[in-house]
Amino acid sequence: MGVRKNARDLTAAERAAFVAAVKRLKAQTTGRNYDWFVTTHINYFAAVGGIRYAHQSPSFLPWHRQYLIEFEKALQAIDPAVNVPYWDWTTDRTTSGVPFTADFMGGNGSGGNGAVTTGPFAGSANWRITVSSSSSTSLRRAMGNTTLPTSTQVNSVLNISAYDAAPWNSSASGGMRNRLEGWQTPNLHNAVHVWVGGHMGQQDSPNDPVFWLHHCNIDRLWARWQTRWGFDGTHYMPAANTSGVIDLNETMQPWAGVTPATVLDHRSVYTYA
Amino acid sequence: MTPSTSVNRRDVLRYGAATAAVVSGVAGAQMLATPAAGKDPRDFELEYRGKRIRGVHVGAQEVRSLARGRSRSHEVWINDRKLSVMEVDLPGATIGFISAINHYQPVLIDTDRNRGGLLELTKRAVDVLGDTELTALAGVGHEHGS
Repeated sequence: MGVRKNARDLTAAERAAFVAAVKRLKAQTTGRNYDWFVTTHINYFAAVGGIRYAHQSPSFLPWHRQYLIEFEKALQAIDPAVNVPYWDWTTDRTTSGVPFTADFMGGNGSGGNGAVTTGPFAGSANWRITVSSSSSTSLRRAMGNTTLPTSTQVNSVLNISAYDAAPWNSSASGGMRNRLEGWQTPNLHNAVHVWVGGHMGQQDSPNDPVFWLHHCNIDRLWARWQTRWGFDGTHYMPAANTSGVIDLNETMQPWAGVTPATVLDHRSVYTYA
Repeated sequence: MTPSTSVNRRDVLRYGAATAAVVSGVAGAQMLATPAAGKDPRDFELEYRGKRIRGVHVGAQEVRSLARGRSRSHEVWINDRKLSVMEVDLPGATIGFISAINHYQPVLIDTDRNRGGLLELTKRAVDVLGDTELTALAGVGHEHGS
């Protein structure tokens, strides 16, 4: 079972191992390589066959939980010791601190909105963007033009006992999920994509490896909510018979055999340190 | 696992509903395409930060039903490359729009206080692009559901 650590608690060797595994996955030319994950995110951001799987729906959290598990498995096929770390943006809030150091994710874009110039993902020779809405082949960031969510805001979201609410989309004003996803205030997940900017703000956001650290933190926040309110199936909604979204026991494409119910309790697969 | 029969029946209902919505949306778009629809006063074509930007609105009141039909949304081009614009239902019965470039930050567009919303959305995309251009992937529309 894996232990997912705070990025600030990784050793230098753990940081290097994570970066190396991510780069190996990017260099892989067949199967579920890094760009497969980018493409899958683009495809499932949208509704597929009239069903919203990955965003603007209750399955935002379980879909991305499985997405992270699949990504972590792909990394572990390269290096079994690697786990995805999380970026707690309520404590690490600068453009040059954890995780944006030269030995890990690298820093801001040049001139504030251009190509990343430091770290292992700087420049197209080190990290070539191939599936994107913009023509830049180098990773771009435009960090710090907005404000990161605070721990007070996080706590206000985790204090909401209802998992989600009708109409089960981005207009849901009740429930925890839409506030955590960010179409409803205080907006946690979306705001962090916007704060990093560059590729992280685009539909092809997984092009920035910090995507995984951000979504690992989102998954951790859901796990915190579950620890408080319950890991069982009564703490996912809707239970059944709701069209256009994934009910508790419906399969989340493209993950064969995976339903919200099968991923609710993650504790036998990984835990958070 | 859910019993497969009930899942299949539900899926059939879902896909049936989705098909019906697409058909009605196409009909709506064709109606708007007639010359009588005219040019929306909010449409724009200008240069911003060295890029030629163009925006076409699909209509004032019709936008919600059209968006629900999933066949069409407001249209934007940057240096003649299409930028896909997608509708997002927001709390308070408002509709936001995101693009392939600014995907997590909805902009409100209407005929009143937010009449300049599409221009704002387009300028934001240009700000992100800087000296780069849109790719074909940016113009591929996808539905965000309602």
